[in-house]
Amino acid sequence: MELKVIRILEEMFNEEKDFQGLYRSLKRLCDYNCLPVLVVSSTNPDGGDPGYGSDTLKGLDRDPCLMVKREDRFCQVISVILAGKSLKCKSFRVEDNIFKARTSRDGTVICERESLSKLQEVTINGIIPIIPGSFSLLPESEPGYLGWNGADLSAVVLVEALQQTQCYLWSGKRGLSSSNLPGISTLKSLGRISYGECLEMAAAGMNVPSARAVERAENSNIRICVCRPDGQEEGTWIMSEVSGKSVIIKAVALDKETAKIAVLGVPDRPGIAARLFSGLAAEGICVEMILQSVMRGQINDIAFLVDKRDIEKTITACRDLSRQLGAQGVTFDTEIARVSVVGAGISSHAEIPSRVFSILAGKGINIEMISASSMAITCVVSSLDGEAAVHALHHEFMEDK
Amino acid sequence: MRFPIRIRVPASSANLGSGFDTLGLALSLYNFFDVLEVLPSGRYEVEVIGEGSGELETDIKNQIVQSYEKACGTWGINPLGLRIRSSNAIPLARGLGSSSTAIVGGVMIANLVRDVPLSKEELLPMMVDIEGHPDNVVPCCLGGMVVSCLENSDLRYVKLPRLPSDMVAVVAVPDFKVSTEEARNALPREVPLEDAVFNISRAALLSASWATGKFDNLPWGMSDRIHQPFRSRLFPGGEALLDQVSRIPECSGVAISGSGPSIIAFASGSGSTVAKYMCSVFSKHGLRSRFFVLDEDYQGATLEALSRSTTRR
Repeated sequence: MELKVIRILEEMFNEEKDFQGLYRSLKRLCDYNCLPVLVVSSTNPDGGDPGYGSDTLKGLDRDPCLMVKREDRFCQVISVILAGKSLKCKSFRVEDNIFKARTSRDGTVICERESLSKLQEVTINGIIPIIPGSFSLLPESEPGYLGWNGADLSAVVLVEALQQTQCYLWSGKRGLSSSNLPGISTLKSLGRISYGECLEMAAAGMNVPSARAVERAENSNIRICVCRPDGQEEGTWIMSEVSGKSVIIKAVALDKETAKIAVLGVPDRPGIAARLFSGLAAEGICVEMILQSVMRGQINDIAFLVDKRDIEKTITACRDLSRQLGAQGVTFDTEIARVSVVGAGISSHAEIPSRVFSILAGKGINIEMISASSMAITCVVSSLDGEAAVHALHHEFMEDK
Repeated sequence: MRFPIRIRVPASSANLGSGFDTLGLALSLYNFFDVLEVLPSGRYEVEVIGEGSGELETDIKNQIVQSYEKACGTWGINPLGLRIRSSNAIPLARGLGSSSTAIVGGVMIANLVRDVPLSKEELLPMMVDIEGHPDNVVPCCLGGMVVSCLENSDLRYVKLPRLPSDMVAVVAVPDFKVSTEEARNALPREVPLEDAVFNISRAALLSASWATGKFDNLPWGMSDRIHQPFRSRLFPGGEALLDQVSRIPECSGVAISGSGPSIIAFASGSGSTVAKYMCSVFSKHGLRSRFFVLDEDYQGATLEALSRSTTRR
């Protein structure tokens, strides 16, 4: 019997008919001689991000014990409902130790032989295992939170351990779309994207499978399918290099959850940047798009982006450092938006950057910062211009003309 | 005079609500004026970097040079030509005393040419004379929160004790300029007696509270009826900001900074809640803005010798 690892989200189940839909989808799989292995996520029931990047429960706003209990309970609920409809199930709890963290710090998740045996005892008898996926057990036997969409990673880990090749992430949407901006009438569904493109979309602020899950899948050559329970063959496949019709740009993303910081007039001496970013790292602040201005008069400006939720810690850290370094000051800007075009091969199409910048210029949109990789061009613009920029770029690159 | 030398001059926020043309606070945001080399008399080269680049004059018409020449002329000194690098972090024409920094910087450069340099306190009358009013240049030169009065050319001032270290000044700077002339013209020529009494009582309360550490009086002390009701209409979101920011629990008082359009608010902690709110109000009114979270600068303008390598073009 073929095993199919499927991650499901609590947010998909609001009414009785949603559970009916799940039952029908699972029953259909069983009828085709497949056995579903369900990995459950219930830590972001609002679809919001409760604490991206947290490897452990420390620092979470929500009560960690309640989150663990909630996920355990939801596994039981699914189990009871499916059992009531004649599907044999067994729900596991976080403390059952299916997923383990190698250390409390690096967040590397494993599924050990012992855990696998526990699972196989269940699957060999045709019973559907239902496993909480947002937590791993830390070496000190405490549950460690795997971050936003952490269950994606658990599902991939399980596919790897079970020596399967495909991982299904069921959601309420048909798959991934060509933009995360609501209201674009010409959104395209993405059929296939590469691991690299998916990682760029994650970095650009799109709601795609977690970066750690995609990286792990890429390393193990596991294909990920994001789809609705009722349409597994549709949806978006995330896989290695995508061949076929060459579509250079796959998505245009908007991210308004970023703030721009500029430390002004920093002395131009070796070690200053190290000191600045060590100070931020010590506070657990992740930064990106770091730009240093051309040195003039032995001073320069260093600008970078942080997540808006880190702005309070960033203000404190930067003000302290500015004082210590004898800088001119620090300016903060929370009214910005990151607009990204994502697609493999951007770097090999010379015209793409000029088209992006021309489109924005044509709309009178000023670009404040730019970064580019082989698969994405990201522009920082005023938040007032963010949506107009996405509309214009989506129209240029994604719509048939 | 030994060059190169750097003059570091702080931003300042004047008025603070009730203290119209009287109160000013130096802030931890700085312009650097590097005097790099001496040139033949009458020749000036000013390189402007950062704020005001492309806008400010780069020759004898530059405000730093004008102030330098005015001071030298007053003292009967033949002014040397200079190459100056002006690295500006203080936004221009936003009510943060950018032009005052040029005046303070220019006079301090002239002071270096004197055989017997004067103290900063002795330089103040000259700076105030050039600026025309004391509320920015005095704190800019001396640092701290300063109460200043000017009668003809007589200047009296008192520098108040430090702002507590757990309080910050949050300054939201919109991408919008209000000219000083426009800001002056917006004011009525006559003030009703009750409004004058209102402001005198608030300005006295603000000064006395700052002097005695009773900072919980700031919201009262910073309220104003003389200029803010008129100037807040000169830029989008001004009236809404003054009305709404004062209601944020972390806010300990809010005012238009100088003649605007920047808004200054005092806050406890990191100031992020107040700052984000201020910028979001500007955004709602279609204005781009950024913010600074600043300490009180208590040193004022300072001099620092630079290494020779900084003179490279």
